[in-house]
Amino acid sequence: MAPVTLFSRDLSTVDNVEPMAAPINVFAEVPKVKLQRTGQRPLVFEGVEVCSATTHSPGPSLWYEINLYRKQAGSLVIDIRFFGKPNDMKDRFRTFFADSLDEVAHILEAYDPALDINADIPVHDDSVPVSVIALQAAVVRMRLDEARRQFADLIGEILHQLDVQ
Amino acid sequence: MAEGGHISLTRSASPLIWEWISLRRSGLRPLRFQGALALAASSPPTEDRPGHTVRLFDTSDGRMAVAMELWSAGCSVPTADARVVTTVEELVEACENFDPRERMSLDFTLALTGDAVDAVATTAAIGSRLEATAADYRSTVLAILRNPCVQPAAASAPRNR
Repeated sequence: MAPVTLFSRDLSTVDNVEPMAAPINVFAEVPKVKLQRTGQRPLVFEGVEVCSATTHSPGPSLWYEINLYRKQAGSLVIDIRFFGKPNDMKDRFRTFFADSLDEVAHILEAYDPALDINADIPVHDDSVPVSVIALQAAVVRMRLDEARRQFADLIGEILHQLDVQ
Repeated sequence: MAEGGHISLTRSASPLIWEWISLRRSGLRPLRFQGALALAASSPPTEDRPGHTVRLFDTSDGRMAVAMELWSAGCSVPTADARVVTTVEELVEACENFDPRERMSLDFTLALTGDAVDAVATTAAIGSRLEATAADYRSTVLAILRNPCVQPAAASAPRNR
């Protein structure tokens, strides 16, 4: 039986180099990054992508994407994107700012995916049968569990790429 | 083994050369240590169920580290856990605590919102996927534990949960 090269996945990760240490060439033209933000104007800055990862796959009805950018001035921008397939789940894009990789880790660890799950259940509408409310609650719970699981996987992946201790 | 033959096992070459190793942990910062790969076993993902890898490392301070990863087809990010263990019992416990059934992406939407036939069919299909994945994972773990270099583990193979 052919042996499996198990380290190949680890070697393919983006950043075993220290992303904060890699200098941006001040003479080269720094690309302009434009990030969509839910409920806010887009964020535009000059910088480079440090790393990114997504949990997108053919099956699940929701997924996350995280992109980390370093601005020319050296600070970091975290771009968290939530995508939902069904019509009742809206895509949500949020950005956060950090000055160090440790701060990036703290922000990601503190992020609650419950923010992204629409939990509108018509509990005050007497015309809606209790069984329908129970079903909707079960769907919300399922999506919440899925979002939390995927986001945890994504944090693990990003922090592994950045090698944050 | 659930589907016969698609598990594979590697043993690293000796002598050991220590290197810095960083292992993914879902929701956590990576586990980083100096060590060398001792054993690895894997089962590749298929269209209807995830694959997984289990890797065992010797650490430079004389302990072991175990890494478990669950890979879904088409997804570049695994569900992962890794721990440093000092005894075979801790190794078995670490492998047991990583239950792939709790870590799979499942879509029950059809079961919750479709008609009764859809609900029964969806629930049965999901249940079958879960059990097949768990059986694959148990086979991979057993392949690691039955290896001569982890011989004391043979007496305490994981429970058939």
